[in-house]
Amino acid sequence: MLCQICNKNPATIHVQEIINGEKKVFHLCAECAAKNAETEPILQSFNLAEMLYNFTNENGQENAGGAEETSAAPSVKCAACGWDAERFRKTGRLGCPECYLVFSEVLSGVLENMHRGSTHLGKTPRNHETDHRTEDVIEKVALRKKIADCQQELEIRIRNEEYEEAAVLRDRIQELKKALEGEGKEDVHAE
Amino acid sequence: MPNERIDALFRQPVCWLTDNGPEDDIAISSRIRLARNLSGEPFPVRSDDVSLTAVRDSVFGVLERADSMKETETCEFKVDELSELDRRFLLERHLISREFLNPRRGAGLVTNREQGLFVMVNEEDHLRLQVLAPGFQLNEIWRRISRLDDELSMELPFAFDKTFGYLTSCPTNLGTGLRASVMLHLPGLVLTNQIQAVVQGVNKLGLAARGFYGEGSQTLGNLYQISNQSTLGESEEQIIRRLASVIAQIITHEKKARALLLANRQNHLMNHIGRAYGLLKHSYIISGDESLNSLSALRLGVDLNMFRSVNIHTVNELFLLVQAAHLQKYEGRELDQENRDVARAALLRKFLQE
Repeated sequence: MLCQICNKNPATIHVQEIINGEKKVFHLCAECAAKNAETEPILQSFNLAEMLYNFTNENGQENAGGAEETSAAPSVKCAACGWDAERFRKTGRLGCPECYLVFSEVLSGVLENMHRGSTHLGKTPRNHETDHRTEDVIEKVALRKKIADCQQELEIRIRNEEYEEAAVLRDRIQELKKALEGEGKEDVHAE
Repeated sequence: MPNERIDALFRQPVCWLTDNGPEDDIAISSRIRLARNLSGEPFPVRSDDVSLTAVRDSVFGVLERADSMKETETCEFKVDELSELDRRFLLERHLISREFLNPRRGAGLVTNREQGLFVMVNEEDHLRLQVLAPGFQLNEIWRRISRLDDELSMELPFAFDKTFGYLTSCPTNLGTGLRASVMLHLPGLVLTNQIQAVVQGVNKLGLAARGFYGEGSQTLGNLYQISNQSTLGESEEQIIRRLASVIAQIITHEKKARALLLANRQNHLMNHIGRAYGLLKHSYIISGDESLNSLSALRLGVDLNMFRSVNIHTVNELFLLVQAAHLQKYEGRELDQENRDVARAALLRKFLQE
């Protein structure tokens, strides 16, 4: 069988997609598949990275205020290596070890699904000393997540006119923000 | 220009094909790989030629001193400086991945002489430690590769995080960075039409079934590579235990399928094997795919004691030699496809001469 696009090389890649019972089949040679991977939606759907990203989008939209998270995601950029969400989406790969902290929010929903949990239970390198800076960054990400959760709840409380609970949440958010800023300052001093 | 060290490797027997291992009538080989990266370095995808070459130099240096590698003589290869044929030869030996067929600057391979313990440098991750052994022996090879990993981690600062584990370029390898697999020869399950159910069952359990050359490759010669998918949220031992229990079950099913075929369809089975043997013994032009599929039938015949003149090691050796790069190494010259099909048929006739 010849490639459907160039009609020259033998087709070695066979992609089948079934949507609502309708079957679409593509027979391509490796060269044409690579050339068209970016423009042809059926080939893109086999990109793990695309699956990852779509998956995160869906998750975001389920939450109230998720749209904000989704639109913010592409602007995330790793300060260490310059890798951004767009490259992550396209390649499915991260740029450097630091990227795991930068993209931890995008990853947090995905890892559970990809693996059997989101925490490492395996071995540790022999020479490993706890990297305090890394732990700080993890804490910061956790704080940001907490603030986002509180803000979401705050909106719901206000909508339901539960003002007493809303006031408590507003204070809590202030506290968390202070903690986050405090961490940030310490980091500046440390560096 | 022929590479002398590649040619020396060609003459060196491959331990996982020549040695005996547990359940090796069905389990051809067991493999484990560990993905590791250097902290403070961008992953290869984000790195540049200069940094990658520096990473390769330092990893080569550390590997030269590692006790696990020192047990036998090691060979180092700058993969980006090898010819296309030599790279294809390394792929056929399962020493490098498909990605290394088009290598970037800084791509490297260090292997021990038996080709059972080897490290790819600057593939998707800075290091891919690999161990390969005959038969079904995941626990043994885990101990072996974990030891090499420990030795290297004394000298190389591996990128590691308490929560995420070993940091890898692709999040699908995060945590343990461990991919364990066993190559199974499953003609019985194929001939009794049970293989689809097995592959589906394997997938449902969160494991992968792949073809002869791993990721993205088609199944050839009834060979299936079963491996774990997830790398995070379980310890290495848990991952291996889960995979091993599924593989043990598949082996049992394959044995049952073979017994069933012998009991109920003996003539069909003998016919299938005998015709494949005839094809291998008497062809003058034969393709690689046809050879592998016929060798699969021949291997089944040997397992069932149908042949006195052919032994399992010959069949194993032929599985390698009929592949394009090995064939050209054997002939000592480059051949186009048509000439390869002729040379392959001659080689098979010679090896299967009674």
